[in-house]
Amino acid sequence: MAGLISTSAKTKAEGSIVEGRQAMLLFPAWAVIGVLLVVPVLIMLIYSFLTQDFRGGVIWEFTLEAYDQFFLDRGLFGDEAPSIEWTYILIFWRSFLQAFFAMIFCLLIGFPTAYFIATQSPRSRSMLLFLVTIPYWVNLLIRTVSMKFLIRDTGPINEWLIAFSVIDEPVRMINTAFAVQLGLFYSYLPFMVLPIYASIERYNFVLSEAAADLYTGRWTTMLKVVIPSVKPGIVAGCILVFIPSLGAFLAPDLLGGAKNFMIGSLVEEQFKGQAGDWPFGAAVSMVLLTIIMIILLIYARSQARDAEGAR
Amino acid sequence: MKKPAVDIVGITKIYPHRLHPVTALSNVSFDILDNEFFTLLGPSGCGKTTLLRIIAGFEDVTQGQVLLYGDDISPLAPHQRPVNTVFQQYALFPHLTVSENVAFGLKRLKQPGEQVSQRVKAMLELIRMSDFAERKPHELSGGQQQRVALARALAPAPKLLLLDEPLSALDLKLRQAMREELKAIQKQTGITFVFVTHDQEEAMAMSDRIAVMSNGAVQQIGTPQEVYTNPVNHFVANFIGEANIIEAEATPMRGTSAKLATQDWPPIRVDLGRKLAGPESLSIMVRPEQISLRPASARNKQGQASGQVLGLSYLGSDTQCHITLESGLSILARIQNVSEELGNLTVGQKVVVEFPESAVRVLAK
Repeated sequence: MAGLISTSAKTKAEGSIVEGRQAMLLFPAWAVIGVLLVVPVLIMLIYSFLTQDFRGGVIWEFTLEAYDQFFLDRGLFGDEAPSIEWTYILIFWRSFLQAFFAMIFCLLIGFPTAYFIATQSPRSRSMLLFLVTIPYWVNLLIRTVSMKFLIRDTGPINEWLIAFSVIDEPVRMINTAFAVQLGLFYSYLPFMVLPIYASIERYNFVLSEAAADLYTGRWTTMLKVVIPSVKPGIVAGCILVFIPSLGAFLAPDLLGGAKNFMIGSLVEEQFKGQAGDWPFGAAVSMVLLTIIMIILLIYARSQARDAEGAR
Repeated sequence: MKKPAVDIVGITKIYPHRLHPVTALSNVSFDILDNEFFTLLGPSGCGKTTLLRIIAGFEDVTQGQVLLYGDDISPLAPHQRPVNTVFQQYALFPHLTVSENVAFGLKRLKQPGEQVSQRVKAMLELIRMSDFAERKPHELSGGQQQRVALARALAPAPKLLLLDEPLSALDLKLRQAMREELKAIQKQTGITFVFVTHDQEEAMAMSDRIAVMSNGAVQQIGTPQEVYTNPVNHFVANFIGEANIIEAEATPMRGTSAKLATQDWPPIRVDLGRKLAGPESLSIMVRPEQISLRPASARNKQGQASGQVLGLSYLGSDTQCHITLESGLSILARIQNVSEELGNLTVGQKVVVEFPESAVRVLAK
C-alpha cells in the first residue's frame, strides 16, 4: 500500500488523506474484530488469573490457582508434593483424537463429494450444494438429539437390524466414542465439502488432461496433480472441521456420555450453574487457544517455507 | 515416398444430443508423414481441435481409426499413447517447478533418476531455459511458459507431438519468433508435429503440409504453396489469403481447354484438365497481387474492365485497393509500394483492371 502511494507521485498531504480514508473504511472491520474477538479473549485471559468465587463469577485477586489445578496434582486435600495432573491432559488428548478422526472422516467423505459436485453441470452443482446445506436449516441441538434417537439401543437402526435378523441384540452405539465421532462428522461435514468444492471448481481440468497426456493414470493424476492443486481448499476444510470439533460440547454431551468427556464439555461445566469455576474454565480455554495457535503457526511457517523454496 | 506416421482412417465424430446432435467430423481420412510439420488449419468450429483431441485420446470416435506407424491406437487411453500435447493455455502444473514439470512425463514412464535429470537438462538447454529450472510457472512470462510446455511435451520423446494453437496467447512479435523456434526444434528433434491453428499466416510460415478444414471435413491438403496458388474451392481460396472470385461461362474448345467468358474482361483461354461436354458456368479466382491497375484514359477501348477506386488502405509494404467495376463486381488489388508510379492513386479515380491469363485459377463448385 505504501508503494502504491509513493509511486502515484502524490503530495504528502494528499497521501495522508488517502490513508485517513483507508483507516475509515477499515474501521467497521476493526470494530468487529476488537469487540467480538479481542475483548472477550482478553477478559478470558484476565479471568484465568483471578480467584474463584463460590457463587460463580470471580474475585478480583491475582492467583495462578486455575493453571495449578490444570497441570499439577497436589492430592485430594492439596497438601501433597505436586505431580503432573493427568485428568485434564487426558481429556485434551481424547478431544484431539476425536477431532483428528472427525477431520479425517470428513475429508475421506467430503473430498469425493466435493469433487463429484464440482464436476457436474453448473445447474446440478447449485442444486447439490443446496442439498449439502439443508441439514443446516435445523438447529445443531435438534440434529444431535435426533442422532441420539437414531442410534440408541431401541432406536430405528438397531430395531431394523434386529427385524432383518442381522443381529440378535442391539449393538451398543450410544455413549461410545463412535457416537461422538458420528455426531462430529455429521455436524461438520459441510465445512469440509464447501471449501474443497470451491477450490475444485476453480481447478483447471486441462491440468488433468495434461497429466493423462504425460502417461499418468487416473489415481496418480488425482494424487500428483489434483490434490496438490486444491490443497488450500483441503487445508481450509480441515481447519474448519478440526477446530470446532475440538471445542464441541453438544455431540460429546448428548451422544458420548460421561466416558467421552471432551474439552468443550469441561469448559461448559465450569461456566454453567452455581458450582462452576470461572477462572478454571478460562484457564482451560487459554490452554486450548495456545495449543491451536501453535499448530496454526507451525502450519503457516511450513507454508511460508514452501513458498520460499519455490524461489 | 516417406512412410506415414499417422493414418486417419474414416473418422466421424458426432456429439450426441437429444435434440441437436452435432457432427464435428464427417468421414475424415488422410495421412501425416514421418518427420513432417503438419498443420490442421481452419476457422473455429471446423473440427480441427476435435481431430487433435481424438489423436491424443481425449475424445473417442463415433467411427473410424487412428493408426500410429501402422498400429491402431484408437482403443488406448490418453496415458497409454506415445503421443504428447502442447496445450493452448500451456497447462503447466502450478505446484511444480520448471524442471519438475519437464520431468513429469519421464518419471511416470519410470525412467531412472539419472536419465531423467539428464534429459530435463537437455530439454531446458533446447528451449534456452536452463537458468529458470527452479522457477514456478507463475514466475514466468507467457513466452517462457510456452517454451516450458513445449519442453515438457518433448521430453518423453513422443512419436508424435500435438500442438493445440500454442501461439495464440502470445503477442505478435513473440509469436513470430516462436514460429521460427518451433520450426527449428521440429527439424532438430525429427519428431512429427501436428499443429492446429486458425491463423493461415502461421500455417503458411511453418508447415510442410497444410490440411485446410471446414465444416468437419478436409477441403484440401498440400504444401503452403499448393494451397495458396491452387486452391481447390471457394472456401480454400478465401480462407488462405485473399481472393477475387469471378463468375464465368465456359465453352469447350479443342482438347481440355475452354474459353471463359466473363462479364468484364475479354474471353480467357484456360486448360481445365478435363473435357467439357457443353457450356458450363463456373468460378475463377485471381489473387489480389496478380491484379494490375492503370489509370483509365479518355479513349477507353472496348473490352477493358474499368472501374472506380472505392477505398485505399496503406499497409506499409503494399497498398490494398478496393475497386468497383462498372458491372458492379468488387475487386481487391494489392499493389506493392515499390515505385511512386501509383502513389497518386486516389479514391474515386477511374482505373482499368487487368490480370494475366496465367493468374486465373478455376475453382470447383
